Amino acid sequence: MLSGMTDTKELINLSISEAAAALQSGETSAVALAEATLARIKQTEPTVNAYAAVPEALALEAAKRADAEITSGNYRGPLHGIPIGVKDICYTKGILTEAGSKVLEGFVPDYDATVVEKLDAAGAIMIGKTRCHEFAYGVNTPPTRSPWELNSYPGGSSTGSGVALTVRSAYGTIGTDTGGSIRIPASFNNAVGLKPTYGRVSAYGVLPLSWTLDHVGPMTRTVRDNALFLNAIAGHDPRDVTSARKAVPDYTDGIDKGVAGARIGIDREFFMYPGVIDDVRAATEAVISELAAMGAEIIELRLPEFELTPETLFTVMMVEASTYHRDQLREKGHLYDPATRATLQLGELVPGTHYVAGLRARERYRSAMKDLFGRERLDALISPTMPLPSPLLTDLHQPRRDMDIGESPIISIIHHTFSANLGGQPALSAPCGFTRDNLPIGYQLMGRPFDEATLFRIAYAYEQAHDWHERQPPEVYD
Amino acid sequence: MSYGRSKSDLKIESDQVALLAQMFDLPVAPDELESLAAALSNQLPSISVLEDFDLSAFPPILRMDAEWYD
Repeated sequence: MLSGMTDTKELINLSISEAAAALQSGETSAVALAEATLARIKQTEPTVNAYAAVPEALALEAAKRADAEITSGNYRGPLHGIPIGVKDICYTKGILTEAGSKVLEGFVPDYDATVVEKLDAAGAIMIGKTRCHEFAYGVNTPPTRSPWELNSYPGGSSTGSGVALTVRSAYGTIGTDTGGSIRIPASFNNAVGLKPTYGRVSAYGVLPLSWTLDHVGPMTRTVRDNALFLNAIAGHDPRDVTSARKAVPDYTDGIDKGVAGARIGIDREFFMYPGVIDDVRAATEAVISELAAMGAEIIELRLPEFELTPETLFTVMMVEASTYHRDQLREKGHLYDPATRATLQLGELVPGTHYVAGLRARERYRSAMKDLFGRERLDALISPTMPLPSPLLTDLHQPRRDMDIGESPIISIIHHTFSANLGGQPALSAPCGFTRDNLPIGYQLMGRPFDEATLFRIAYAYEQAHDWHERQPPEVYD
Repeated sequence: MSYGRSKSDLKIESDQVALLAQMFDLPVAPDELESLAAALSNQLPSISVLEDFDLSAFPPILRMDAEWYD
């Protein structure tokens, strides 16, 4: 019999690590976690609309199986029995997968994406499919709303994956990131989001946006949970030609070793450019000061190649996305959201010479980044994740009202995130405070390829000294 | 959406986009031509930002591999 932990509010507020410990000790059950999460989904969905599909019966069946395995001594690990949300561009066998698009209305895949298979093998409970921008492109407006401010942009393209963490309707979620789509909603939703190294997590069975820029990764409430999650989904997949063969370490190993001696770089000219608002600047500088006080060495540096990242990424992404959607645009063009359709049309008109110039610029950027890490013996780069907090939806594509810098909020939002996609290096966003309007602020760490462990170690050290990640928005659902 | 930071005065007209669309068999409705022309006028000059960087020593990345080899 279970003891104690049956209160829904208590259950939904557990981290993955805490829930896993409660499951192992018999304090709760996978069915109790699933039922609490489903109840929370019912309570919050009318307001936030984070989920595109919730296969309730399948989730409860899976939870019953997990309980049977755990009680019979076949515990699979920290995700066993934990309710997880999966972005709706990941194929899920027998479960609706529409990618936020009428083009795929009613589509039910007949196989699972590798990342879904891996979650299943780890014993996780797939609680629902989280909403996203149409085909993860980030140009239309999904119906998901931010509980921090219902009229503001909750981030994307992994929109529901971020919001579900905020409202506690999932313990962890899968996101994808082509230009920031994990880190943006993580930052706006006070969550931890990791874009792993390119090829670290298989993209097989995940609808592509831009083959050479796409990454699949974990979104969680804490840094340790993120490391546990990555343990479960990383690894080589022969079905994905971009999948890396590199061995997968235990990402929780050494996570609590602190930051003494770590060398962390900051390019203030690029990452503290005029588009960064004062509250974000101050919060990030506070993280930097604190890491220095913990023993990290902060290195001031300048990488001019950061300046080429927006144009390079947009050029590469637009051409690759339009290539993938070429046939579908001709067959079902009227079913796309007009904003997505317009961007796909635009991508077809970008000259091949521009695409190749983008690929050359990308090589220059990558070489410069490698040289920088080597020359400065860096462990990580640090920056704000977003220059600004979640903007109002009505302002997203208008010139910024708070400053005259020739940018709309949607363009400011990708200023800091594109570079890690171009280089393929890991990048993590984690909470570091709030604006005076009580909107979450995140900071970003970028690391060496396949060195996610160092990012976890730095972020964990900072997280231990703060409770930012535990703060929640007002209960606007009742 | 496009990322136009250049100060170019390039102005592509709707009929030019219509011709391109016809050449490429690209479906574009008549009422989409004007906005697509504006987006293309903004997008094409953006590549000029890369002209600030010497790319002569850098071949295009043809297969993405994140690893840093020595």
